[in-house]
Amino acid sequence: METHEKFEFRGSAREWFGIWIVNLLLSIVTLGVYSAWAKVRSKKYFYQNTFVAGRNFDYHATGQQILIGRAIVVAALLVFALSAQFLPPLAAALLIAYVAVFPVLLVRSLRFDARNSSWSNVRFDFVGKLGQLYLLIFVYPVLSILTLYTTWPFVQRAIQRYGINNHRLGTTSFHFDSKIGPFYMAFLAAVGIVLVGVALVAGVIFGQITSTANEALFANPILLLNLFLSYLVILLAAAFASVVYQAIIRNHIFAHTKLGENKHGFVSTVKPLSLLWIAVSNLIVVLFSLGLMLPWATVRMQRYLAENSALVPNGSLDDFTGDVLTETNAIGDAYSDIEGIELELPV
Amino acid sequence: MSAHDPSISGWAFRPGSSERISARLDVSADWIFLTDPDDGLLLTKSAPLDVRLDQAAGAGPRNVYFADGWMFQTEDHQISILMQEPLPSRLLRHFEIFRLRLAAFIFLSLLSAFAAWSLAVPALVTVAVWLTPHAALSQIDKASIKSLDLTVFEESDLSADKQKDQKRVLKQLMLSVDANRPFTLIFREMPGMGANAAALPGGTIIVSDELVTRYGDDPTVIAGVLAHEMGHVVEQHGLKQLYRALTVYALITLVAGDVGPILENVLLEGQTLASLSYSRKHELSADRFAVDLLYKSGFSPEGLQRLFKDVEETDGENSWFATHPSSAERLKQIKEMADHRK
Repeated sequence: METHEKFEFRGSAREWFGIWIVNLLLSIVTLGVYSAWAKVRSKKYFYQNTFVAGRNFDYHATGQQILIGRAIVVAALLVFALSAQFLPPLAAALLIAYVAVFPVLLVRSLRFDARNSSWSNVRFDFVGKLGQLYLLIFVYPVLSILTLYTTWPFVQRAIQRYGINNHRLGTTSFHFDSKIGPFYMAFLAAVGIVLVGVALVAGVIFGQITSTANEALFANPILLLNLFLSYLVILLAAAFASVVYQAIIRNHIFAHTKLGENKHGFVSTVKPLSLLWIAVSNLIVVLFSLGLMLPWATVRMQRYLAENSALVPNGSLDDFTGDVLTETNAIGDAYSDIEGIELELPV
Repeated sequence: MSAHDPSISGWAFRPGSSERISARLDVSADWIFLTDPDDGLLLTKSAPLDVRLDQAAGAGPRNVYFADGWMFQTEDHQISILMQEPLPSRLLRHFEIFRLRLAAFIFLSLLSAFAAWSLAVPALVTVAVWLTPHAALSQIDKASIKSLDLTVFEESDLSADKQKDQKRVLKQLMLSVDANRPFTLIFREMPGMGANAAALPGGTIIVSDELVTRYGDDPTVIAGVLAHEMGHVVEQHGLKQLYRALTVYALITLVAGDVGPILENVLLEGQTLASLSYSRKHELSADRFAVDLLYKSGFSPEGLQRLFKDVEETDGENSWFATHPSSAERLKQIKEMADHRK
């Protein structure tokens, strides 16, 4: 009686390649200015080609919004760098100020992204409170470090609760909650993989971790090779661990997320090993094609994730409503973009 | 526009509603109509200037927005002609289509990527180095020493007198360096690294116990080694390598977009590894700096030459690991410089 409405990605690697290479070319020849529009086109392509229950997603931000946001962020960073050079006390004050406003930017970024995304003509929204985010960013991680990271899964659950429970489709809210057990299982799986890597380094290669930016007068080839291999093994182990963690936690979170009073459900059937295989083979193909196969790799990953996601409707999908919201401020968005910071939401 | 324009079928959505209604779009001279195809009832109408066709990426469905918030979606790409989509947005999509001419774009992209690589990256690195405050440099030094002490280094066994002798050599060299940052010399036992020395961006020079036990009584050799390391610091080689790695990563992610899991880590961390092979040029440059400095402070470069000869004899040709130029290559350069002075 339960029907699964599978997510479907209808884009193709060929088509995305054309958009991607034009984005790339225009971004370079405009010295990066076009990259704001390129970002919009990329998001539009992937959103518009992702369907669930026959209806697609869409992305509505404009290149101009993104560009203004980025320009302000770059200006702020430049002011900081210049004051660090010529007026160090001001730089110290600025650094504290930037760290203090970071959660403000993050909330704005989440809201900007949500309000500029839609499904079936209804915009998403994000209504997270700032105070809670300060706790999430500055307090919980510190508490977790004080317990030697043994309580890290609690922090992760709090982040997911905050991220998902504050998202809306129109006026309809998402709801997520879960026991802590599965978060510990995923965490232990990830830690286990890293430990295997460390054991490999310690046992087989003799382990030492190198530090950057030092200049030895003479390079001892054997030592350098060992350092290189140790570094590589640890790096790969950490990357593997993160992929496996993402897969496990995604399945769990989808299963425990409900939408609205109807309690529409979600299913994710991603397999950790399949995801790992796709990530590793993508890496190899992209490296050997000098990056030209990157569009193919991106589409392949997107298609796999879509095929393994489904909506389980419980009643009509025609009843979602929302205002037509406009969010004109992309500063938060640009900040998280440039700094590469994301609240890791498995959408 | 005539009344005989074909109508386009698709779906309509009420303002802000997720309900999908089957609908038909018709265009007349003054109005664009949205009607229910079953009973012909009018859903909405707007003047053509108030109706907006979205900018689509790729061949997916197209959206049309009416003035009062109604949305019409269709898979029929005739909509672009019917709505008289402006040339720039049509042109962009036209060029994005996968055809042979994309090969030209690939070529142009690779060419401009190469230009960015050889012009933009060094320029950005130079700016970043210039903007880095001294306080940050000494922080890098402190953190690096801490992590090296934790992993590879052990405490020095050298006597205080021996250490003082080497520091005196450094002081003499510093008199001739036109740099306003202070250099500090520290000693460590470096197991497995032989007679060795390293410089950190903030001006900390670390030498191994073995270097001092083997050459400590010969100030010309020590002066050569220290002058070389000072060259790295003054010319900011370590910092440049670090920034180069970060800049390349930032440019790739900005221009090529999200690269996906694992590859992202490899790009960021792997860059740091790759930057090791970039230091060939830096070594030769530090050698040149050293020879100049040695002359200025009254030392002979002969000590540095003697050291490289020693290394060549004990280690042989190790240039297969391309981090460092071979000792022979460096020796040749120093000899040429010395001959030039005569």
